[in-house]
Amino acid sequence: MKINDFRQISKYEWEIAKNFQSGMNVPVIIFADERILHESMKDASLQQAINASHLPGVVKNVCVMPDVHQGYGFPIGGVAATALNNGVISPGAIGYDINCGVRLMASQVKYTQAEPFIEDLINRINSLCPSGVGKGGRMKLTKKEIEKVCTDGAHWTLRNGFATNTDIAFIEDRGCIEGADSSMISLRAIQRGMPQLGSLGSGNHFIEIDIVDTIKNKKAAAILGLCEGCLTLQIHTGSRGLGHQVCSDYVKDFQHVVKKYHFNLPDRELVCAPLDSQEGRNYLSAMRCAANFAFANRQLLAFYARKAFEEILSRIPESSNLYTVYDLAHNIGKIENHKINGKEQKVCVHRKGATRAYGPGHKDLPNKYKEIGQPVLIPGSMGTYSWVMLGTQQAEQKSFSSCSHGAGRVMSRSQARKRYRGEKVRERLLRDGIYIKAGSMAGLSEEAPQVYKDVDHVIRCIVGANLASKVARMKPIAVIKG
Amino acid sequence: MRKNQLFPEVFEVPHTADAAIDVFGRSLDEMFKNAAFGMLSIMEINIQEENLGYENLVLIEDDIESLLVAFLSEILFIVEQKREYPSNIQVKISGSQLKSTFQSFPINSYDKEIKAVTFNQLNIVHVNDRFQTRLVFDI
Repeated sequence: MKINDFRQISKYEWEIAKNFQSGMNVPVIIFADERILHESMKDASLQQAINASHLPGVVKNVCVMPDVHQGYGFPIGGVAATALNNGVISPGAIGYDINCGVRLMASQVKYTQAEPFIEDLINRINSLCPSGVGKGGRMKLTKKEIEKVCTDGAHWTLRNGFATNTDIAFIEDRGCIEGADSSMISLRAIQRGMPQLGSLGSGNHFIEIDIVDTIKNKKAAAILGLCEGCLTLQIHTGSRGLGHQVCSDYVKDFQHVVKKYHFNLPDRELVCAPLDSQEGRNYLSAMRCAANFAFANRQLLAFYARKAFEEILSRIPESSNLYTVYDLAHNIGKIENHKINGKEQKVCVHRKGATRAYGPGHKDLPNKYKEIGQPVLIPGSMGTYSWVMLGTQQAEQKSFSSCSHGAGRVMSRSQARKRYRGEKVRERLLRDGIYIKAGSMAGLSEEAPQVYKDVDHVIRCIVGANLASKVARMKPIAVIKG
Repeated sequence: MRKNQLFPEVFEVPHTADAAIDVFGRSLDEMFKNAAFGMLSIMEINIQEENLGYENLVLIEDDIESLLVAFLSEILFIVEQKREYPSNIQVKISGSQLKSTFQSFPINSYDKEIKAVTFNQLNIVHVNDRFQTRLVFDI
């Protein structure tokens, strides 16, 4: 693609017109400045966004976030909404790691007091929160219990003593999406989930201790419980093998479904089913099971991280309580109300590597956050800052209330392995004051800070496009990489 | 695009977020076998010497691409759930049916998890007497 293929709407918004390629049902809007736009032309991400615009019943436009990069079928950092009456749901446009997401927890513990204990703290979290390739969780559940996790989500953890009511209040959808039906997921999905609840996984999943480094919005930070110089914790993981299997099963099944409904798509990974068909409803129920499993998974990890804080930081006088600020999904399909051409309409918003970003006053926000809007959590790489932002009312109009989910990769894993050695990455980060616990040195090299975009640049684009506003910046001090 | 040779007939292709390989074979049977080797080599699996014996796999799908995804997904399941490494893989494809035999070895550990085998732009073609395709794996 060339720069002339885009119509510039503003400094941070670009459009690929609906007539750019035959088969497009809507335009594609890219939220980026010219530099990020040029970077995103280097891989297949924008073509994947164009392909997504072929989905039947897609409305308004496909959105591309500034952390966009090439995925499979649908770009990572992509958002597409489809009409409930004549639109489709596409498992590949949500991704295999259903409800991969981020939990942010905060404390009133000052780093200056906790500094001597940080290494002990990250070691203790590492011992309580299993991570890495092939590592299961601390509990082995029966098929029946996994089915309950799938229908009840984080509420299962509440009943079993792994959560507080306050945790539940600050999880997207209160940690349980209604309409999950465990009879819609395969035995194989359950088998894969049975040993894995309460485990981090590998790849880009992490648990990270940060310090609140800078506050940009004092009022909002106070409401969120973020205080400058205090410790916070982020957990990034999803639905593990259970979610991967749900997506695999339905991508396979929908290969037949697209033939039945005569859908003509540019990529078999985008296969889909009508939202008002039995096939579509079945996937929606199955996807919700995986999403609920992921909410429970992050809550279990949060429970053990909190335990580690209490054990290790009991030596300092301040309260070591670690409380949930927010927990959100960034690979999911949600039925939401949005204004399309001035008219309120129910749509299925596919967010793949994109975060929901409701503005102030939205009815689905926790009461405490209604005034300020939804927290939007944007982790950087393990060597750079992460940001806490707030959704805006403009995002409701521009991006189906969606925002970026991270910094976004710029370098392939194979290139990263050639260019960086895991041991060197760890040494370098330690010199910068960041402890690293990693399951594999090869995995660490693939996640070196340099393989990601500059998160501050991504944030500038988000703010410039009015998708979210800044609250606080966090600096990493210890990271567990799966 | 720079490709990294993993095996004869298997090349790793740069992919921003995930992993991709180009796979070739003189026959479909050989291409499927090479695809399995390619996928397993990405995972960097460390195995034990003890031979657990032979296993058989029979799969039927509507088309050849679906058969490839189903075959590789089965191998992933065996690795993740049974923690067994399929070695000396033999593949025989007749129409829409695949029969495979392999020897299993216990897995000590592996370095990279593959979440899924995708259909991303999957298209098996026959060019110059060789079958070939590109495969993208979700990492």
